[in-house]
Amino acid sequence: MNPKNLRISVFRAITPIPSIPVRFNTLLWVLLVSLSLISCVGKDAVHSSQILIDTGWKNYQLGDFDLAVENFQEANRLSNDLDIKAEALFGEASCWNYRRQNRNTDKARELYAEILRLTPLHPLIPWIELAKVRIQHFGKIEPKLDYASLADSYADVYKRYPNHLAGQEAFVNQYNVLLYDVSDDKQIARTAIPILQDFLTNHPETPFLHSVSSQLASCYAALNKDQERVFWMLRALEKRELDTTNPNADNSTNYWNIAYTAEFEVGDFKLAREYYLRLITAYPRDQRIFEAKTALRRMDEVEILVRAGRDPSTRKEGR
Amino acid sequence: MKKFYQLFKSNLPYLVICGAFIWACLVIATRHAQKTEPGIIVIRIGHWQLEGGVRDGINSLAREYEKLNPNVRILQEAIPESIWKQWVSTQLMGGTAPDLLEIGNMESNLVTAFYLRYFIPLTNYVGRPNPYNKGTSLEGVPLINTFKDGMRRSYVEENQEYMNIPLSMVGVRLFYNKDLLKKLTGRSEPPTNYREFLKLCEKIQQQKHPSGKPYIAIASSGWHFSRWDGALFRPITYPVIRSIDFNKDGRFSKEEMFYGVVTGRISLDNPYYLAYFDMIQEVSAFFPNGYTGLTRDEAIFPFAQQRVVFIPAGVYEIVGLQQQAAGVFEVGISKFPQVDENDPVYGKIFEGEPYENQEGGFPVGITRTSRHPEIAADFLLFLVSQKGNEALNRHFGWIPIIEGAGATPEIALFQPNLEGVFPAFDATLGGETTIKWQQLISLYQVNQITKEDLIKDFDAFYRTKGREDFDELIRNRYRGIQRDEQIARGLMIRAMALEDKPEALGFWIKYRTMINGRIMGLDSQNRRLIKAVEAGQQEGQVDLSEYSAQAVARIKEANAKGPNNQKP
Repeated sequence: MNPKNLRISVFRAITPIPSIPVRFNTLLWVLLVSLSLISCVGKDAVHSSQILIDTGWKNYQLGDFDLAVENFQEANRLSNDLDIKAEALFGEASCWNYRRQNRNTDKARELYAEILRLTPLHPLIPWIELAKVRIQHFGKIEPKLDYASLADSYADVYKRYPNHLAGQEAFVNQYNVLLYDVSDDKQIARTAIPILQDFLTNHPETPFLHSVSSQLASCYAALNKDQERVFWMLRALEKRELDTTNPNADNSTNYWNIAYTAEFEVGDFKLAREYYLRLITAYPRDQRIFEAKTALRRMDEVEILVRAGRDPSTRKEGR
Repeated sequence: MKKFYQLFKSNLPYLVICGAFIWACLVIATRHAQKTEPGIIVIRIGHWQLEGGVRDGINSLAREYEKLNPNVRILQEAIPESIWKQWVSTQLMGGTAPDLLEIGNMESNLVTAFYLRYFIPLTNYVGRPNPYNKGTSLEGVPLINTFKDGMRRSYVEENQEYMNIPLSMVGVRLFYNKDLLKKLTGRSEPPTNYREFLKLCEKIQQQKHPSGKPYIAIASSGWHFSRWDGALFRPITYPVIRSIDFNKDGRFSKEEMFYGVVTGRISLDNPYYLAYFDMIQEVSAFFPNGYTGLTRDEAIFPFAQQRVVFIPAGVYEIVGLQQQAAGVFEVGISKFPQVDENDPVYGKIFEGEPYENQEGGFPVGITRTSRHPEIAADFLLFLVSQKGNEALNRHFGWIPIIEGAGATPEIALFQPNLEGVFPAFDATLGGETTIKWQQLISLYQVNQITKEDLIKDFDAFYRTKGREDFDELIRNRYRGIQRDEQIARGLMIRAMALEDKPEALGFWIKYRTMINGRIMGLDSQNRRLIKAVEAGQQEGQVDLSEYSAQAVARIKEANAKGPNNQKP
């Protein structure tokens, strides 16, 4: 076969549309190859962006914030997918927001705003709204803030996302801010009680049952309603999420608080004894075992005094 | 011959350099050959414990382990404490660190950074039984529950993982020269009663050394003083906690002491603090002159030279002291003397012996560069098995950290007292108060100022400059909150990444514990504390440990029905 004819035969064999002229087929080839390359590159970009985001979070956890920022920025640059871009921006914003050296909360706010502009319905949005309020709360080392405004900001997040974890966390934070010293403000306790109870009614499965129950206990303490106070303290303990893998997170202080409150503030010695004993039994290495055993003896002495018609304050201090 | 000598002389430097080079090559080659012995896995363990017995102990256990695992070789690298930090940093950064590495002896932030970057989390091991406990009382018991300290110090909050496994426990006791005690006092062991101990010290100091100088009862230095302070002096202040426990958690904190003083709940001349200051003078009267300026090693010399009877020391110093005394005198170990309720001066305020925290020592982690982390972990489990830990600590002369691991009778004296009182005094609120307190207490220790001057000078300073330190302490707490916020965000991301997998819940719980418990709880507490400090003593405020009027009414009502109706 003539070499020229052979080339033509081979070319025709691989032409996509043999009926159209060769030069169009050549163009078609170029187009097909380009498209497949673009599609591969596109896939790689999404894939690489996800890897970069994961690497960014790993570096964040290692405290390598400069590297993490680079990873997130590169992920954002490589991807056209809005969700991926939002995740990358959220990662970068978190680096600026939570790093201790060269912290830049203004930059974090800008990035949060960009996410809101790009993907206003992204699942991270409630967390972003909460993060913005937390910048207001802990962004600066300033123990004295405009707490009323801060509580309003938390309230706003809950109002917008009442069924989202971030919204419910905002609700709990709002009442932590408002009730920090509720014993001094009976009115705020009266106002808070129905709202906290409504929250529990509306969100029976919320993971914040412990926190809200504790807040109710504080409110009832402020109003000198001991039965209700103790009820909510016990409920808070019952609903407490315990991080069983953390040796420093246990119930010892909860037991102590219930026992101490029951003894000195409520005068319910039965409950006090029960929880002092729980502390002694469950945490025999606890620093407070000596005091818990002292308390058990002290309550016996007090009862003897009271039965003898004397006042408990005549008892010898402590021992 | 002369020509050869000239040639040799002129080329000597080159020959030395070549010789050194060849020697270095041989060392490296031999070491490389040792490492790469075919079919043999080499596990290296690095530590800074050069005390007698430690290297022997590790070697002994390593040989036992090798018998069980013939394809494994354990090598140890004991590095002097003085260069430990530099050595570890270089090894970790260069990727040449041993498989197992003792962790610590450097700044805490550096330790944390190293944990996160260069060590493998050991969390997966803590919930599982230690296979080497098979056939013992700990068979089937999760690893964490086999440790006397519950592995509390192994947990790193920054990544919420267990990062090390401790091999021993630490403790401090009073060591003494048995022969000298017998010679000077006729006693073979010291009294554990405080007053009797003081009398004994007096008797010792009345007698003269062959050099003509009087014997010293207790060897001391600034470092040794802190041992007495923690074991005897400060715990007498315990009852103060009942007046200042602001957050009612049953624990003491220095900011609560400040709160107590500035709000008038306590004064620095309360009977408990006065007793504390008095005890310092009573005991330090038997320390050498100028002891505050001595270093730890300088304090040990006179003990080794038999000019001193007592010295407080840690469990890790037993073997060293015994080696110094070998063939010369016998070293005895005793608990610190304690006050009791019959003491004519302190009996009225005495409540109990000091609480001793169980703390793990010699923490070991597995480095990320380990080629055989599973073998390294297995060897570590071997060292903390009941039998292994007992054998290891017998060599060390230290306290085993594993439940049920036996100890020698002298080590049994180091068993901590878990039911006791703890100090309720800490004047070092921050930089300013720490410097002032150290200046004043040093002067007081050497009788340059009286107790009254100490209290007067410090009280004035504490109330003014102390407020600045208090504010800084609160700011530091908020810095801590910012760090916790950073950790919490990492936990949230880990939880989200796991989506609906069951493990996600664990991270969400950690996240909420961090946010609600640590961050928000601390924020509320800070605000309450600032408010209380600024407001000063509030009218009608009762003592924190007094029964409220409501409580009294209820107790009376309940007891009107008869005895014992209040028992649970």
